[in-house]
Amino acid sequence: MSPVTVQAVVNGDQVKRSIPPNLLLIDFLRDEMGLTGTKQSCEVEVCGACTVLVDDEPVSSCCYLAADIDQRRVETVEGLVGTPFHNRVVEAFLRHAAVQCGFCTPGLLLTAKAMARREAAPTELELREALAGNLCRCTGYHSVLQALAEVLGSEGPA
Amino acid sequence: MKLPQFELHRPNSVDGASQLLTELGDDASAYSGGTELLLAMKLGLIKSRHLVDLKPLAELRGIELRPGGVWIGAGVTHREIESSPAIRAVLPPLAGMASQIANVRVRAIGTIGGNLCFADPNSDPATLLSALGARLRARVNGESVEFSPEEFIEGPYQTLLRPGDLLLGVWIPALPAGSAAVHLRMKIHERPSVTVAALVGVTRGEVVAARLAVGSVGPKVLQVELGEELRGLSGVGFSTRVRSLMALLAGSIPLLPERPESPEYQRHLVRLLGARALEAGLEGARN
Repeated sequence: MSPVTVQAVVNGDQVKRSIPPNLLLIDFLRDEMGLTGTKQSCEVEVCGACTVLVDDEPVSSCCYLAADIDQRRVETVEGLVGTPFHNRVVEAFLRHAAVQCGFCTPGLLLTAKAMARREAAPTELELREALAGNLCRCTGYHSVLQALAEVLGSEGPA
Repeated sequence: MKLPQFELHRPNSVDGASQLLTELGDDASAYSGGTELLLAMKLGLIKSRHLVDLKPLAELRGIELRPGGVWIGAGVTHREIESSPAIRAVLPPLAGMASQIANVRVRAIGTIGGNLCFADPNSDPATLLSALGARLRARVNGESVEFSPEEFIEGPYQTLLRPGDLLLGVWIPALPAGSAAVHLRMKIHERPSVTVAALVGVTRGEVVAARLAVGSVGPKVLQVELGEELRGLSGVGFSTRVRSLMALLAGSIPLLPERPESPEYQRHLVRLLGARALEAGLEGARN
């Protein structure tokens, strides 16, 4: 395999690496960059645990070539830490008990971040549609929706 | 799961991509969003030693509103279709269908061309495009050729493209005056169990044209013209005729074997959703 050079911005930092073309983005982030906040679960683009943002769009890093982040911006949950958005979400998640095991949480936060950039105040339906691809086996979703609806500035589900 | 080893090629034109894919033959796959291809490669179902990346090709990009319809390049993502002001204005059912595909992550990178070329029988786009009378423009043996979606997709995971051929884009005619299109689907698992799409045209409240496409149940999209059967009908007469037509169609439509849904349930859904789509089409066309 001929290596591929990628030059990207990961969580605000310039990164340049020579990588094999078959390297998946999730393995690049976790193994090469040490960013283990991105979680591996279903491996078939269904569960949303491995969600990261590439140029502001959420993607499943388990089925995305690391070679394709060349000349792009990547955001992982580590990049959110300390931002006003993250602080508000953490506070709301704790208050609504929207976290139990926490494995789905990084993916949920990044999907919500992409949503927040796109819609000023999403309706409950828009929020549900955006989050429909992030599976959580602990909370039953209601508390997650309540917390995110609050943070994103719309009314929570009744 | 890791991906098997492969070489990644990035040609800078459709001609270059086509030439490369011709030379590499069955050893290569055209690669765009990768939402299906990379998954199938991880699972060992596709063993391509070369991927030819079509994403950088500007010739396959873009949504263009033209006189009489909309042109969508094969490399346009589902996300771009669902959020395109032009498509939302001219073909709202197409934007609505795109907004229901898989999840936000798949829609962000999966392309309309990739979906059609992968030809998964349990999928929505080909069925709606069939009802809308869309034409798929492909480069076949170096020539530009047009096909209907039902011609293009020959069966499960099989299109009429051969190594070196490429889908260029989709031409969708604008809805004729006095007509409405409706797309309905039922999804229990990750992919649709049944997809139906209807195009109904009326003049002075009565049906003058009707077309129904049914997908996700059989090996390929089934398109039927119902204009003759439904012409001049409205109200109860329309509903009664639609119910009997759908009972016939649902009873005879070929089904894919080994689906998690029972054949009885699949036929039930075809009958129910087909009738609902035609009723909604009539309602929409009259308003």
